[in-house]
Amino acid sequence: MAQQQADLKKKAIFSRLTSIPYSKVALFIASLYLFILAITLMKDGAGGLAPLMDGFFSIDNLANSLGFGWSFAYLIMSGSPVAASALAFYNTGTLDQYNTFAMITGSRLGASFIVILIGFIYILRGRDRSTSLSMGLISLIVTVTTYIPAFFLGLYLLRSGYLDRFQIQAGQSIQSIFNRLIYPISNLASDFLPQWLVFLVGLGIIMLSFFLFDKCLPEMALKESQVGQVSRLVYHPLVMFLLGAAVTMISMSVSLSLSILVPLSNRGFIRRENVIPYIMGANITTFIDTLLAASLLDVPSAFTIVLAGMISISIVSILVLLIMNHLYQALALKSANWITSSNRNLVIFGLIILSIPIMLLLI
Amino acid sequence: MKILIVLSNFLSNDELLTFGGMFAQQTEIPLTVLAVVGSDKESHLADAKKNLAEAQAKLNLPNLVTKFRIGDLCEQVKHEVEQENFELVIIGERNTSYIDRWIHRFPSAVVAENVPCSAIVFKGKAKPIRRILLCDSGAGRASVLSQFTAQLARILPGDENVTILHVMSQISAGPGVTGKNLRANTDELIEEHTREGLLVEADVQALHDLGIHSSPMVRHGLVVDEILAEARSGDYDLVIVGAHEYQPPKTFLLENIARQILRKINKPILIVRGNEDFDRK
Repeated sequence: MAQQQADLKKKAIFSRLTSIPYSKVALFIASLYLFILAITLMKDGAGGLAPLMDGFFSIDNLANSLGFGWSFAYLIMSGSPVAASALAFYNTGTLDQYNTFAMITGSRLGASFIVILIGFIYILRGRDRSTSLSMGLISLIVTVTTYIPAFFLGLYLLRSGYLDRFQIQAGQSIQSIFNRLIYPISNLASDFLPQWLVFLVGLGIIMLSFFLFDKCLPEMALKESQVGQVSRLVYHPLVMFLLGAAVTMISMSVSLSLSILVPLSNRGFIRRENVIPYIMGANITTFIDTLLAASLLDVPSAFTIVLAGMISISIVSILVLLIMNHLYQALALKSANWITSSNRNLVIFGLIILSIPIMLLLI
Repeated sequence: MKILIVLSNFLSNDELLTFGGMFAQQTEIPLTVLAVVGSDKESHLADAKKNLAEAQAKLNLPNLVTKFRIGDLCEQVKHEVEQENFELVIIGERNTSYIDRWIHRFPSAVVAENVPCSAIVFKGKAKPIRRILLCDSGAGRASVLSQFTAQLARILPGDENVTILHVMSQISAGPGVTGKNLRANTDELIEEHTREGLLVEADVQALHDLGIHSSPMVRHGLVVDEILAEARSGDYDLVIVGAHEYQPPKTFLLENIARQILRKINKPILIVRGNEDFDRK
């Protein structure tokens, strides 16, 4: 009897071990390694782009930094690598903490563009405007309307020094890993490549690391759970807010966490009431990779800058949810409806979202 | 159906009694009118007795029961309902402005949410109930709503017209989703046997089986906004919604839509609670 139980136990352990997706674990470790390597390369190479930042782009005020982060995110269709670049520029002293904060905010504003771009592609393929663009537009509207007030709140927090005590730097054990696994490669790149190219290689690697990270995410099997009824029931805004934050903390990308909503219902629908708090939650934890990047830099105050961003957007989002959720929802949805109601409105909207970051860059 | 009318200071009791009296005409079970006073002060008790005497005169029913209780309104009504097994409570609430919704606690709404039976919160002017708006969320409580609506319609004088409303507030969750249903009207949704179409069709059939004529309607937009818009534009005399679910974890996870409608609407609203809700609470 005891032997049988021991055999069953062994079988259970074996079956558990064999069920672990080792390829995904390996992919995760590889993407994490590439992320750290990329940050190091960007940090080493950022100094080489300083003349470009000061000369060609002439980034010398907050509007410029905001516009630069925003346009840069449009260009590479992702926000996180731009936020990491901002931190690399901060590390070399090319940007001060306020301009770094502005560039990170700009990166988040530009990151919403990807969801809209995918929507445009579907429209070109003959799909309906409203269906293709709703989610992207709402995501952009929520991001712009919450990040802009949060930007000013974040600047205030940074200026006040309230968050200065929250600073993190890589510890001894991390440094030892860097010495063995990262620096040999980054030093090699620095020895053979021009400094600006080291930065661009780092940028390419960080984008690759995010791509690989997406691949190692587990398949979402939320359909059968309580949360799987997200398309059928109207959830409490704070519940959806926390869900959006949790899903994005795992997926590290707002566009990815929004795409997770599709399999949550058989038809790919989500209730209007649920989507806005979800995006608000996602907009906070999407900073998690930037927070990790900040902790890998030589300057401890980089962490404070990212934290100011997270705290300010959290405050603004929670206030909106608690005080004016219904009005905010109605206005955001009306705006999205207006944009998709005609081709003319869509063109006007397209011109506005493309021209604002350029104008900010030129101020 | 055992009905309790609660007199309070929130509204002209005259209008409330006119409204409540309509339910007494077709039922043989005596109607009960309850006055609740905050304390046993002489003046409070005198007011309660005066209100009950006026109710007696106004309703002029031979088997009317009048009572008064002293204490917290919500607690006292709850005790009365539990003791006497009332199936419907009717309580008045004044019309609510935007500022009211921000600063007031809405005692009548609190009563309606806490009594262990269905409740009508009466607002506005008392007029015969001809047009009823039945809001079905599709959360699986259609049978409770239909049965109660039919039960209610039987004790009301005349023929009622029931509109079954389902609000489809969904949008597409991603760019690649086929969203034809998101713009379809009621007939199209029924013809294509979509989830919403089947839902309203089942409601119509359930009411038809109970002898009530009804028509289906699906609107697209935010749930609360669309219910309020339909209630206002359709000149309904009574709006019926299901009570907030009290089964954990749903009670913490879900929005209390019934409360939002209750606070924003200026018409009589019936909040239907099924037997299973009593146990959960």
